[in-house]
Amino acid sequence: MSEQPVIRTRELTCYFGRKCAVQALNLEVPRGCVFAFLGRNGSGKTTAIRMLLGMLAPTRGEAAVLGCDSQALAPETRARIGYLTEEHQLYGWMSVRQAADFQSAFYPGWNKRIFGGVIDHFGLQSEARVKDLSRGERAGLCLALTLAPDPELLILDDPALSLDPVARRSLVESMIYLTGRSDRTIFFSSHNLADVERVADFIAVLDCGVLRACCPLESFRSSVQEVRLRFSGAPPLLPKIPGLLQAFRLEQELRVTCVHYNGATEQALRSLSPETMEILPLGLEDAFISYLGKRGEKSFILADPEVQS
Amino acid sequence: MNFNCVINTGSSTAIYKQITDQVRLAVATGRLRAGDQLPSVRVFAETLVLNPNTVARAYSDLAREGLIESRPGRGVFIIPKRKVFAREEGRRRLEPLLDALIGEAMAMDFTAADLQAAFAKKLSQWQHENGGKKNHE
Amino acid sequence: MKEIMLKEWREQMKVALLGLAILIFLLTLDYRAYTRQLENMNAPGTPLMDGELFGQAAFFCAIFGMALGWLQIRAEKHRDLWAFLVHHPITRTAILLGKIGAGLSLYALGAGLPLLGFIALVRTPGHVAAPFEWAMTLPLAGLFLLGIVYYFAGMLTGVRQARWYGSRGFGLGLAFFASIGVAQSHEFWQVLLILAMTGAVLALAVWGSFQSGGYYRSQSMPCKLALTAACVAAAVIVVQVAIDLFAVLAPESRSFSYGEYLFTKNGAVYKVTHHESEEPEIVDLDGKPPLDDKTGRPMKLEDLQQHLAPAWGTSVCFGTLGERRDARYLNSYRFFGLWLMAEKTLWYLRHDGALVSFDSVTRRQTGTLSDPAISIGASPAAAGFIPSSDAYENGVRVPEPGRILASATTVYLADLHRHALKPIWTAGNDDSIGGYGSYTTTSAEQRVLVVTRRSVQLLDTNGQAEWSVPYQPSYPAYSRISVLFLEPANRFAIGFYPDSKADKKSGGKLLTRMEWLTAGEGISKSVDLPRLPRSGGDDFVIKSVSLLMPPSLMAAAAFGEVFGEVFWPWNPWCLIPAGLCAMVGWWLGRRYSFPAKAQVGWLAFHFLFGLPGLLAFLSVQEWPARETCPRCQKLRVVDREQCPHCGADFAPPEKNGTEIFESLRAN
Repeated sequence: MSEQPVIRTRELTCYFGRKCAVQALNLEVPRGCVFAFLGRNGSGKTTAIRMLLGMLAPTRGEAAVLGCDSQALAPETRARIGYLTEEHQLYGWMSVRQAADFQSAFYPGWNKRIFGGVIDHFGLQSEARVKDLSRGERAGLCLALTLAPDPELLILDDPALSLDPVARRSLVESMIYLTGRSDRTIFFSSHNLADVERVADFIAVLDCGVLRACCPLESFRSSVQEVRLRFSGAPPLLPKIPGLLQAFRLEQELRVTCVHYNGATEQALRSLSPETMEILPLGLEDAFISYLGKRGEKSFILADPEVQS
Repeated sequence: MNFNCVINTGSSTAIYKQITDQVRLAVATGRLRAGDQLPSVRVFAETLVLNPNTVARAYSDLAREGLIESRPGRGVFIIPKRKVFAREEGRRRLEPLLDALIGEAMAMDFTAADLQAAFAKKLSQWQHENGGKKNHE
Repeated sequence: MKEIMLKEWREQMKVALLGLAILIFLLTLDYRAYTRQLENMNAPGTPLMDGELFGQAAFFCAIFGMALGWLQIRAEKHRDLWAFLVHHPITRTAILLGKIGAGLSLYALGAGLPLLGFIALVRTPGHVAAPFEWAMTLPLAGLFLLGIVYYFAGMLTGVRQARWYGSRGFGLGLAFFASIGVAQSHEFWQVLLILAMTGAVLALAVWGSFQSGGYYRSQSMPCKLALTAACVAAAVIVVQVAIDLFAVLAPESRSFSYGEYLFTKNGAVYKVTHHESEEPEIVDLDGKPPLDDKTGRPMKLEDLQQHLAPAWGTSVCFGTLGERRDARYLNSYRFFGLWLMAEKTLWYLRHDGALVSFDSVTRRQTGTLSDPAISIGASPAAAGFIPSSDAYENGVRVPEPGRILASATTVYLADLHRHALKPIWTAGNDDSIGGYGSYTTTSAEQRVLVVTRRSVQLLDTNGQAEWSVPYQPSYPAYSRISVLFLEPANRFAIGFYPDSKADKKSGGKLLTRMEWLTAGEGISKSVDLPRLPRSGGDDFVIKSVSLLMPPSLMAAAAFGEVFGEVFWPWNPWCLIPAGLCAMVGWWLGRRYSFPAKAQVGWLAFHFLFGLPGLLAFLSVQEWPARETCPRCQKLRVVDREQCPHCGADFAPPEKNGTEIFESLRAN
């Protein structure tokens, strides 16, 4: 079914001065999915999201959300997008009730039940002032304010940042609740891979502003593999391996993580004549860490000066 | 129903596979019997705090294996192991799968001998896992 | 939008109330000061047009307006709070209008309410012992509106993403010019025009920057122009201040000299030339220095000043408004002048020619004294009294013993207790009085100088003319007459001084005419005094200004006589620095691949605005990064899809073999 993707970018680029924060991002997010946007701190995720919502003008390229150009989002389109920012910022002087009154005035489709439900879930008092709320409570309030207008597209920028485990779990539960409607799409960035694993259909990985992966969650996990080679003596030097991510050298062992393990990779490894060679599957978090960690060889924290990759 | 499914994130096993493995194990050990009802995709997902698509994939794998069956309007039930397809049908379904497997392997530069060795190894792994209860030719 | 307004109200109410309290406090202080002045009979005017009040009110309105505007924008200083505000299903313009609606209404509350209260207080009889007219409230209205211009300037300062230290505050430059306009304009409509123009430009700049989140690149053209215009105004101030600072530090160029004429009691004229740090040079019309009678040596200035003749004079203007017409809209003299302070009564001569009295204790109007000719049914031109010139002796205002009043046709001696006027002298048919003043001579006699269209005469208090000479050279080229009382007592000298506007028009060719006469005998001598030289002064400042200031503004100033004076003299060499700036601008444009239209536009801009234009250009532009093009190896800007040199697209990001891409269709 060729339905319009809810988010589409073309060569979306953003420079801050000389530094390129986002480089030629080409992304398409299909409708009805849960899409996780991953990357290290400072890899450009928040910048990309800001560009999607028209908060920031791209240096080059374009983005469209719900079919509408990001730099010219019409109010009707904005009404269908829920945006939760990293810092969960609200007006400190407002009480929970005042914040609800403020927001509900803008959205004709404001759902009191959803709002009340999320507020209760997080245990918020309606007369509490925003500035007196804890980080997690504020996040809950922001979430309630974002979900109550019943948006078609939910864009969450690191929503679980600084949340305690209970609040995080509440957040994930809210996201799953939303997937009940097939036309609701969730696009979120996160550092918490456990939650991502639970809830995401697809992931995209941004590495220093460049999109390096965009695939179903399971494909990512299964594409990254760790191979353990045992040797009788010290492990030899590693030859050039396509798709090499990291190589970890121990006393009699060589652990290699790489992408798209195939026949060529296996041959290259076998050429080192190991005693045993095992392929170990990786969990999502380990795969992610290998994928985005520093490339090349190392033994523990400090690079061993004798080896070369 | 005393079926308790425990999910570990960060494990090297995919979540959907954890579900299918645990259901299979439960059936094998008798904790789940034919006729027991499993929760719907939606409810199960909310219980486990998972994306319903993951649960749906687990259920469809289990259904393909012939362990469970979805009865419209009633729910998802464990069924006694049976042949899902007649032999002919089965062979017909197997052909494209074999083509896909061999085609992919060739594209990845595996030789016929590699493939046969890998296949034999995988088969023995499965047999080991399922304790000989699976029907196979 | 209503929700936004309510939110803004709630957020900024404290500021408005604080402003309200401060202004009420200031106005109370001003009213108290007026009361003290009144009690001390210290020439009080009306507190409504007091210079100090204007200064305080101007300062307050500017700061208050600016603070409100700035605070309203800084309320969403955090990027995510800004995102929260902006990501609502209303247009950004609606959000901005909500903010402005709340801000201006709060401003009206904090600044307008106290001012209105003050005006009401002055208007109510019993509070201010001076005439009241609604036109007198115009200056305060102008200051109130000025605060609105500062409001937008404050908003602009808050919303811009500026990188230079201080260039954020460039929005205030235009507001500063608006202040100058309010202070220096002659008529109120000019004030309104200036405020409307600066306010519109600033509002447009605010709107544009608000839409783009404070960046320049993504704004629409009119908004970019408005922002640049505001920055040019500020850059002009920066350059002017830099020049002034440099002038202070510059070593030379302070040697100025100017001359004046002094008249001694024996009727001699001396030309005194003052030099910066030297003794003044004194010579008579033949070039000889004055000699001391006793010692025979040349006299010093201090000695000469013992022998100076008392001089009195009046300026001449026909019509009851008289010279009041030259007073600016914020000068109370335009509406009335203090005529007399006697016991507890203040007498004011209003601009409509009526003389009114106010009791300084009850502060109410107690009476009027009108021109008797009105009740007799004389011609309308005769209605009302005309203002006399203040008598000054050596710079100190002298109270007059007898009360002399003149209308356009008749000079009266006034008896204020009996409210009676005795006419003592009448101008001839077809003649009208244009200026008069009454003075006390050294022998304690009172004399009245009366200038009509045709003649100048000196009368005594019975109306007898001691002498009369023709008003030659005449009005309007010569608009000031002065009389010198020489020794012996029947000898006088009369000076006819050229009107400054007429003098400018003639190119400085009008000379002062001096006539010597003896009472009863007529004019004995008549001399045109040569023009006095004036040189030096702020040469450096003026030269630099004329070179570095925007050529277009200087041309406009020269041809339009902005503010009634020419601040910046036109100098065609100013196109050279402007040309240099244009070259810099051109080079930068090429370096960053500006489109052709933009290059041409900026070229014209730099020629029009010179160095301040270049500063404004540098402060608004956002320079894109540049990278090497893979095909032609030249540096290319990153905000264009194709390389401006060879047309190549951007190379896709380098792959490192670890990419994982798969179709997302299988959902």
